[in-house]
Amino acid sequence: MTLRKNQKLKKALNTDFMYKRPNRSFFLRTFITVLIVILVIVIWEIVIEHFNIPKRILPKPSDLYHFFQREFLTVHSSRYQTVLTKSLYSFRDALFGFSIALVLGSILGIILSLKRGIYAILFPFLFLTQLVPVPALAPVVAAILGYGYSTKIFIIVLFIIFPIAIAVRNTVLNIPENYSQLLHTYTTKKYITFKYLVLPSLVPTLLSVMKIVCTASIVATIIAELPLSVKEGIGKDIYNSFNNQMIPRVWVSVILISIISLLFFKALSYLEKYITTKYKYGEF
Amino acid sequence: MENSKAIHIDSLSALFDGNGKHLKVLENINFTVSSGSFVSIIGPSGCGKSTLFRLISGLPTKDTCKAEGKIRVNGKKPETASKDREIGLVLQKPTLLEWRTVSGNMQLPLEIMGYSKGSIEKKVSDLLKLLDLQGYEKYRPSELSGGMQQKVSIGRALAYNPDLLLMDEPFAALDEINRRKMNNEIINIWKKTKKTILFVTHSIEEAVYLSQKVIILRNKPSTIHKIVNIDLEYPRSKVQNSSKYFKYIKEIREYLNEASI
Repeated sequence: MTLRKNQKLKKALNTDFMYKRPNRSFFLRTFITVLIVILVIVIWEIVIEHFNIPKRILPKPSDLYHFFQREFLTVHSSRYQTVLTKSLYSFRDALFGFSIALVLGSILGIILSLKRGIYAILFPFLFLTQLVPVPALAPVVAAILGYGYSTKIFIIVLFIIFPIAIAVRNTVLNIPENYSQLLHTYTTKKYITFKYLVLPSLVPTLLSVMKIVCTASIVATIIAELPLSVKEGIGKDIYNSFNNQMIPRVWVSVILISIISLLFFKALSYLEKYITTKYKYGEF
Repeated sequence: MENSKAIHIDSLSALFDGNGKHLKVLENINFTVSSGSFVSIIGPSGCGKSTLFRLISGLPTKDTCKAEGKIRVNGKKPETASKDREIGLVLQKPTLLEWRTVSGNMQLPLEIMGYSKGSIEKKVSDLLKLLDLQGYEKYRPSELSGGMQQKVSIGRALAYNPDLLLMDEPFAALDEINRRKMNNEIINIWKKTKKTILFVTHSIEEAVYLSQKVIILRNKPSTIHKIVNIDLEYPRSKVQNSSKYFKYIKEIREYLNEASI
């Protein structure tokens, strides 16, 4: 058994991973970050205890821990939807709305780049969606489209489509003219130019804009859930918990959804880094 | 075919008319380029070289550009010749797609034109041999020098075997040593492929070194000032220090000075 373990260890030591191990500064940075987080938690606990700040204003980290324990670590945890399950439902919807917005925003951006007249007609309407804040817009949309799931997705799309469409339009218009000229000598078919030139040019823009709107899609999801009658979702839960003075639950929910947003952002950052380094799309 | 006209331009005029501007860029241009010849166009800045280049290549011109007269490439309108894949274009910048390798860039026109996979591989392999780029197939454009990038761009233009190669100051961004190297390369390619080459340049020496005929354009009005036949043998590296070579350079410089007034 020990021999087998040793062999496994030897095999592990021979992998490329060992040669690409993170440098010392990475460990140092991680250590400092963890230290700061611990320090903040300790100060937070002491300050609330010392000044007797009521739980309804700001709960202590230990309150949050107790809630966490009750929510996740008891035998009843599996019988109902935890705040994590609800957060993941919200994330799923955010991801769905985000994907639809990405496709529709790209199509819209390309349409806006075709003719200045189209841009002049459509842009004011598109801009209008950004002028009205989502909390104000959500009940209006719900009154028109109903209080169901489709309204939720519609609001997410509406909230994040603007930067996607504008970024795509600008990228298409900024493709150097000599490249379009060159493609024109090979073909006059626009879809071929689109396939070989426009589409690869859009990749870095879309990757960057995805990073910008990923967290916005989660914010939009949470806000959209408030006036709607959807049962799943952390937005609704935060709203109800707040009304019932379950402040630690609100705090844990907010921390959870923030962590999910951060992981979403990080995943897209790695994707961007991988694609831009390996394929060099959109570089001229 | 040897002495037939690859390019025939008759009474060509062009003007930019619109947006409050009325500017004549070309006036009564007449010349012919025989098949298989190497002809250069030279002229002061703003004399309409680029407009002439665009009109011959069949590229869409600006909406405000109005052209009159006759342009024929292999007896066809430039747009038709371009559609029939008879024109290859090499621009001032290499215009390579960074997300494609050297081979990928050379394959681009062939993929678009629907060549079979086997045929594409064969053609690209032949081009890499012709351009002495073997071993660089998998390199990305940014990993190559400016001269090599331009070679890939020439390879891409030759990929679909056009009769006419239009080159718009392709070596303008190169230093003197690389420019001369590329000049020799382009002469070798021309000799091997027997293509017709119309070469736009700013350099008198380059025009004399490369061409059989130099067309000098003038400013105000933008028309042909002189056409000089270069009666020097190839390879020009052998005659580049001869008095006859310098005489041509001096002659063209004088014409250019007159044309710039």
